[in-house]
Amino acid sequence: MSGKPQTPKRSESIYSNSQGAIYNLTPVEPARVSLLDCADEAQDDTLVYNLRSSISESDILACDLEALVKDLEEDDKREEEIENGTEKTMEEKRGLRRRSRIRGSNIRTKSLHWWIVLVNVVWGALACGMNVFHVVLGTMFLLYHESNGHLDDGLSRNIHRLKFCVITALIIECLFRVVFVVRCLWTYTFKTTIRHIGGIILGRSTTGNRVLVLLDSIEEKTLYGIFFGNLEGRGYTLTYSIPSTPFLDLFHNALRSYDHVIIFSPTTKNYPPTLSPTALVSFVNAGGNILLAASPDVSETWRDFAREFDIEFDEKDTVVIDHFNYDVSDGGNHTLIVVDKEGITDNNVVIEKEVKEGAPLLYKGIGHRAGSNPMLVKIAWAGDTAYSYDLGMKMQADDGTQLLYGRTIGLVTAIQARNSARVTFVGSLDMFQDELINASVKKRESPSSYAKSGNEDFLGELTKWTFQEKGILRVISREVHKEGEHEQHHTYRIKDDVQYAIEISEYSGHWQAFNATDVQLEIIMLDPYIRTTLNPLPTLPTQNARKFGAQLKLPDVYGVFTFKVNYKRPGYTYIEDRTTIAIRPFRHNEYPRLLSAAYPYYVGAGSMIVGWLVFVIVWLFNQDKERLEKVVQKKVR
Amino acid sequence: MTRACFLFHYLKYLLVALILFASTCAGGSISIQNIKLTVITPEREAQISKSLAYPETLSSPLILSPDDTLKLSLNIQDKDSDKDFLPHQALLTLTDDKTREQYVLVIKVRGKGKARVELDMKAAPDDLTSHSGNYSMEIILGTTSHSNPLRYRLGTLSIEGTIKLPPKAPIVFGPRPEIHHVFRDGERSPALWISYTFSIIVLTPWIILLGGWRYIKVNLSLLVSKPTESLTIIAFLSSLLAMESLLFGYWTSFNLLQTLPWLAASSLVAFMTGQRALTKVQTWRLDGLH
Repeated sequence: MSGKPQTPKRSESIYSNSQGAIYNLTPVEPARVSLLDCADEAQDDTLVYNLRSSISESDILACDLEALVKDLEEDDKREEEIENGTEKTMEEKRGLRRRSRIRGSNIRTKSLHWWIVLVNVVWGALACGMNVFHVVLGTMFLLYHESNGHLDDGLSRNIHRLKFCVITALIIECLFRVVFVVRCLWTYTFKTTIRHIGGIILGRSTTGNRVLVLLDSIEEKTLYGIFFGNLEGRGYTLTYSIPSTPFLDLFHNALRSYDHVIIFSPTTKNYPPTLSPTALVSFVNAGGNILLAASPDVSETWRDFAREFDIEFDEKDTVVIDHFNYDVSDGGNHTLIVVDKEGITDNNVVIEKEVKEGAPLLYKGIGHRAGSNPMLVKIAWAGDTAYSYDLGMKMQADDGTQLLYGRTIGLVTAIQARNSARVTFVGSLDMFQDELINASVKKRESPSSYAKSGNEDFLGELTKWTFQEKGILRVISREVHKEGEHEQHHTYRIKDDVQYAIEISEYSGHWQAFNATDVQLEIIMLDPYIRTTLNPLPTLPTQNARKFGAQLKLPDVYGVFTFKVNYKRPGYTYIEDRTTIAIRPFRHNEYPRLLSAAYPYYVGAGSMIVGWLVFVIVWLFNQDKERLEKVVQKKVR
Repeated sequence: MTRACFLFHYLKYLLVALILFASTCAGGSISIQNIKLTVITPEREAQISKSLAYPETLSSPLILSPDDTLKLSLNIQDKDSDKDFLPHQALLTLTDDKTREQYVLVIKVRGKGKARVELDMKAAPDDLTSHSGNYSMEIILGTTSHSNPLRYRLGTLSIEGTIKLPPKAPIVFGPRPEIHHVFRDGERSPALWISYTFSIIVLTPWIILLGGWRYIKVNLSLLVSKPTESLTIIAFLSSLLAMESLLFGYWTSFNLLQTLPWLAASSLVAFMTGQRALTKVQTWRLDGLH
């Protein structure tokens, strides 16, 4: 195994995946990336292009254009549905579930729950009391009949039987009532309480709380007691399993059976096809999140899986060694390295600043090389003097170019797929163990020491981010309207002054107004014509979304444009919001009427009209005095 | 018996503790000697050679041209025992002063602690040959048996690259440059005075017309002498005026469908009043007034 680096095995099925939820994973050149971005519009664009040519050929009326846009949008939707297939529906379902969860945390709903509880309990108690009353009454009645004792033996026996039946039935019913009351109490009080505590106070994942934990052996779970305990404390339901378990499937009826998978089984070689790298990739495509912890003996399965995300673990049996930055409790191998704030990402969304600047981390494990894919989020890396090598082997001179060295050694790296599902790779399984969580940290030749390592806090932040508890963005609404109007139309004229606004909400424990100054709007027809930064608008503290707006003048080119907010920032889920708007040319009567160059023509036409009118007046009222005198003279003569 | 056993255990722990202590704290340190940096230039057959003693750094940057070869040789020894040993990590790193990007060369350590490393610029990776600039050279020696690794900055190496590749910017998500649409220029019209001049020229026939009318003594005396009889004529003229203003309105703001009914109405009025007006004019003419 420890030979030349393995050429990445990439299964056809993943790469020919038409859903395309995973970004193109081969290293891409800058020019190609812009092409990839454009490729998103490829479908719209062919349509747009046709439309555009048809407009330029004949004068399409505005109403036709509107109809065309409507058709276009519908087509888009249809195509998207066909393209995404099940994924789309699952996305919707997830959205629905998410929405219902949000509604669950509403105060009004909470009080409604308490009403239901009260009504149920009172009703149950009353029913219970009535039953007891019935039992007592029935027994008294029977006893009364018996005590009178004027009955013959047969009837008395029958009554005895009846008494037994009635009492048993009533007791059973009574028990049912009690069970019902308890169940009501459980459902409406405890469950909601737990949901409230979990959902509001501590924060919860927007994907779900079902976690599958894969271990090399079930007994190993005690090694990670604190880590798993913290997850359970945050409301997750953990299912422990070993990868070779038969019938272990990530999907049930094409829906995810789990929301997150924790892979703590680096040495697994035998796994069912339902846990193959391909299956895990489709799990990610379906919106599931994965946390994978490796160790120097990580098996080829997980290496293959990591390669799908442009992450290459170093060769087998190599470890990250740092002769300068190791913990003093290290056994002499210098592999228990101390990762301080120099080696942790600045990204506040993934790892909070307090955690980053707190106690340093203890790391012991394998390093990896992360590619240049922009979807990768490098979370922790080694120090300047670290290197990754097999401790038992002598370094060869030609290793220079292959050697993983310094800050290029990735320790913790994550990728956020196109559907915003997150996959995190950690090279050290030891990092999660109680032993390292509780260990004290003292770096070699460093004056400061810490009683407890920063692992617990760091892993808390890491799992919160990986399991979609923070850094989630959602578009609430978007609108385009002309200045002075409040209604959105399908068509606008070139050079119209319009206002655009998009409302974005951020989830980190709860939905709150998103705060950023770099949200950009692009107006695209094949190429972006306008790219402008949107201004964050002031928000009341009670609002849980913020509007970002801009005033713009539409370009003087007509056609069908896409108003696109393509907000992709490391750590945040992606936003790709599109609005299709047709832009039409000036109508014949919208051009300026008085051109200075045409003044002589206006004056000419005006003078002719006025001249004609004046001539008519003159012709009608003119009295030719000379002719009149001649006529008078004639008459006189 | 038990006491001896206890003593034995105690000694064993002591020994382990001592070993641990030795390996973690005392550890021993590495010494390096005879550090020699050589730049070999093939054409000129000249070579620059510089010797350094351990904590020293180069006083001036060492210049490495595209065809040159850099050679570094040194002796590595255990400081305490003066014995040779093979460190697990023996690297020469070149760190770009601007980008902090690192290039690593493995130092070959042979017997007797002799170590050397060579950087041939002709065979160097593109990353290095394309990035001209200053690199800081560092020797890093570390091993598990020694707790005091050595990190020694030799000085600055100035690399003159051959290929001028554009700097490779990593693709990262982030705000992109703004694009402002450049609107086409409006159609250019001639200077305003030209328009005015020609407008006035267009108006000049009025002078001839009015002058001619004045010469032939054009008047409106029928309107003055018979105002009551000219009412129909005035109505006819007003309808004509209405039609003209309607057409002006059509030119500026109304559309065709708004204009047509009004135009129809005013033309009907004009037809009827026009007939009357002409009849009146005819009677005037027959009366010999016209």
